[in-house]
Amino acid sequence: MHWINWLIVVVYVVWVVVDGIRKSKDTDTISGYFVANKSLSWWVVGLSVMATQLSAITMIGTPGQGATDGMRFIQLYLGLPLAMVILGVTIVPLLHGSGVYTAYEYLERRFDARTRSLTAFLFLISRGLSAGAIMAAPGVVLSAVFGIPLVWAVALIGVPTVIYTMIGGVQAVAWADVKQMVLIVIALVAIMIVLIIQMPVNPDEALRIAGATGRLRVFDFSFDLSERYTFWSGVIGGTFLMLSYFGTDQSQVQRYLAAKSAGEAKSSLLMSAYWKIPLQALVLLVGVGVFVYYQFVRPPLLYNPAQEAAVVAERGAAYDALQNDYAQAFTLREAAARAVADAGDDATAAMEAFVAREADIQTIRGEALAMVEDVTGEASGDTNYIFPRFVLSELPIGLAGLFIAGVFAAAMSSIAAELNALSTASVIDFYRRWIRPDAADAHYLAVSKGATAFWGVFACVVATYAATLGSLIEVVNRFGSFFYGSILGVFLLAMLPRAKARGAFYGLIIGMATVGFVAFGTTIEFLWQNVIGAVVVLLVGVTLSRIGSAEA
Amino acid sequence: MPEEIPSEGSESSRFRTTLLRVIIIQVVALGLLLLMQLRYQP
Repeated sequence: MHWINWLIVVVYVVWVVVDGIRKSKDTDTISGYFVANKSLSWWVVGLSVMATQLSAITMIGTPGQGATDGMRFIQLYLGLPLAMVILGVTIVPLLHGSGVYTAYEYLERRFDARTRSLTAFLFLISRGLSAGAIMAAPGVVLSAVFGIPLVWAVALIGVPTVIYTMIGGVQAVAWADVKQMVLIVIALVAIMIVLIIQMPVNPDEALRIAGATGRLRVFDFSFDLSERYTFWSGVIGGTFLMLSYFGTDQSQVQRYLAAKSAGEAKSSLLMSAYWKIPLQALVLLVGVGVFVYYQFVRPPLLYNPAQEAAVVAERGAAYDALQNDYAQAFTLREAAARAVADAGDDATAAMEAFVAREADIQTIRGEALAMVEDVTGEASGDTNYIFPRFVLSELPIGLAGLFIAGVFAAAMSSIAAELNALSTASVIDFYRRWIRPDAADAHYLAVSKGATAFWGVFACVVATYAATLGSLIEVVNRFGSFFYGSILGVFLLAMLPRAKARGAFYGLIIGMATVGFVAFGTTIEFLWQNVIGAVVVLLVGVTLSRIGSAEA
Repeated sequence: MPEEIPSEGSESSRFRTTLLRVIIIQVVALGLLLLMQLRYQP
């Protein structure tokens, strides 16, 4: 990468760390450190909430997903605006008004200590692992693209994040998030503009080419539980997923607990409702744009340079032969794409020819990916490298640096939020609750900083292992999603006046067992697990509470 | 100068206004995506 691009990245990272720490006030009390003395404005909290959810894999992997699979991924977010509105009138005022530091602390007030500890424990397990996975994803890509060891890539992201999170607490995290969100949006819009300018065809023709391969199919209205992204799984399963994530995950709850008032907290959540779908559409459209661009400019056969080098070293002759086939197939596909662009409205025949040429390319790419698996023994995950390769080879100097800074920004904001939340839950829900209930603030602050450092090191270690297990990220996501629904169920129970502690505790266990069976014993896709978990906990919780009342 | 404390009335009015904007933005965004699908997706 050009030194100007590196300079942009380094200046940005230093600025985030220094300014984040400088803006942190009153961090010598636990209220200042954990919830900013409830002093943050709605727009700061809102941008922080959005930045936390937008991880580096969104910046790297989602455009790749747009390029290979099109726009349908956006259906995952259809439930988000509705979830935000529901949370705004239910859980947000409840938690903000109760003066708690963690969402789980509220569960002890409403139910009992064991329900609180179990949910907090589940949070620590699932989020501790996912913090590692969130760090691994950009670490692997940056390491492969720049040819630096994985440990360096992980350290480049992890060390500054741990420093500003440890020193500045939630305020440093929130203010860093504000900058990060602005940078990410600027980088994406700039890339979209450059893509449109550099595209060899006009936007109408580009969309026609993308449409010919099904990449503009945004909505799938079929009701199929084994199909991952449909309109219904997005609206129903997505609503439950977002309710769980934004309503019960400490990394999100802690943001809006830091808002000045419940009203400001509500408004901050609506900011996500506002922008999430348009922003995600932009990210996916950038990916679709890259797909169209690569119809006219030949991309590498394999996007991951490290894996390409491994294949060349082991199977040089076979790979060269494949490269020749690829070059010929590319020329034919380019001509077919031009025919679609020139055909106007009656393009059916041209589209069919183009789809056939595209299938030829995919067959050749499939053979190359099979070589990767044979040589390296790992799944290729090539999709994640499409966009970084495009940015570094096709974008002007400066803009590429802006994008890489954006990837760092996205990784740091998500990891900082996780570390901050993991530290808060460790100290408030376990250390202060069970080990040292009456210590001074200074003591808890010292323990919190130690906990942040511990979770930071834990995440870095998990990240280096996660990188060698290609599918772990998916495993962690699925693992997390079967906790989410059940935890949401407990919070929903908390809002029912007749629900009792016994119902909540055993409801949570039975809910998790049910989701575990659904996840491993059926083909039902993971978004539905959130619905199943929440409903089972509610039904079991209400039933056991009624039995308990009758016995009493 | 003392910091201005927002009143509950102004907060709930801002919530309603923002909610209305959220609904409009989502309808426009999803409508545009649907139009794009209908126009370009064979």
